[in-house]
Amino acid sequence: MPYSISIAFLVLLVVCAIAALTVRQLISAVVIFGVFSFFSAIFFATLGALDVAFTEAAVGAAVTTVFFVSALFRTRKHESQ
Amino acid sequence: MKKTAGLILIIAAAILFRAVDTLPTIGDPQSPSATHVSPRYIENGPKETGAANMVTGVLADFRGFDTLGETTVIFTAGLACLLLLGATWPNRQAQPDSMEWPFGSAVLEAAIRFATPFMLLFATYVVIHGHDTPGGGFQGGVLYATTLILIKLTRGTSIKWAPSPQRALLIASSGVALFAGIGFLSLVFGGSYLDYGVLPLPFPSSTIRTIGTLGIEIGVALTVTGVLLLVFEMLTAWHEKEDSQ
Repeated sequence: MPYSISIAFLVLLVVCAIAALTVRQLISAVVIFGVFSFFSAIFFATLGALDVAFTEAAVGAAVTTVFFVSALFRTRKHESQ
Repeated sequence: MKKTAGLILIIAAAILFRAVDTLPTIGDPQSPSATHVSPRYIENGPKETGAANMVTGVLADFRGFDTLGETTVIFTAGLACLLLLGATWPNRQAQPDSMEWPFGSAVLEAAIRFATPFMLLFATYVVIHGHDTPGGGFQGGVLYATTLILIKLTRGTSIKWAPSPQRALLIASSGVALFAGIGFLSLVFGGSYLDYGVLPLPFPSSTIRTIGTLGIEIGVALTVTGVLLLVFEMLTAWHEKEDSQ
């Protein structure tokens, strides 16, 4: 696997990370974080670490997103004074 | 205060960037991680453990004790979630009828009905076939948990056979117990802890180790399934309590 593909996914990872930090709505940040997980899974796959990629896709993209969304249901838009 | 934090961050980043430069490159055969035990694992692993997927061979066989520690860490994390989110758990009763989930519709339910058997089958395949292809107990357990969470999200509390928090905790505990039990079983038959090659089964040594590895993988899968379900239940049961007030 040529390095350029890995580097491309690394760049996408950084873009996703910055987007998740700067976006204003928490639910969007959660979704972008799921995208981040998928890109890192693909990045691990390009390095030949298929087991790690599988775990990252299952845990990072699926379960963590569900947990974050369930936790978000507990929050409100504004802080209570 | 903010300036100090920024300064510390910049110094830490400078040290990290400097350190990255001295790391061995990816796939370097002279790197420390590739020179000590790796050649032995690569040359003898598949023959000794019967595992074509070397990752499983190392994780569940050569470093089984390490994996037991990891499984215990996951279990402890689940217990910590229980402690933090479900402090009043024994007193709290979920109201089966008063809860309306934000999701769930006829279309979603039809789709889930179609997909669920395949997802469960795939999860089982991942656990059992982790020996030869990427996968194993951890990934399979996550897939089981994802399927059950999906059903719970779609059907809400109307589904009676879905695991309750109590049952999720039971599943997680039995996984750790199975893992540790296989370790003690090999102690009973005169080996070291988790040296399950000594189990008295009428098979060649590598097949016995394959069976032992499968037992361990099932233990890991049960633990991961139970813990993830438990965390989900804790997160949403909290929700239920708030709603019913």
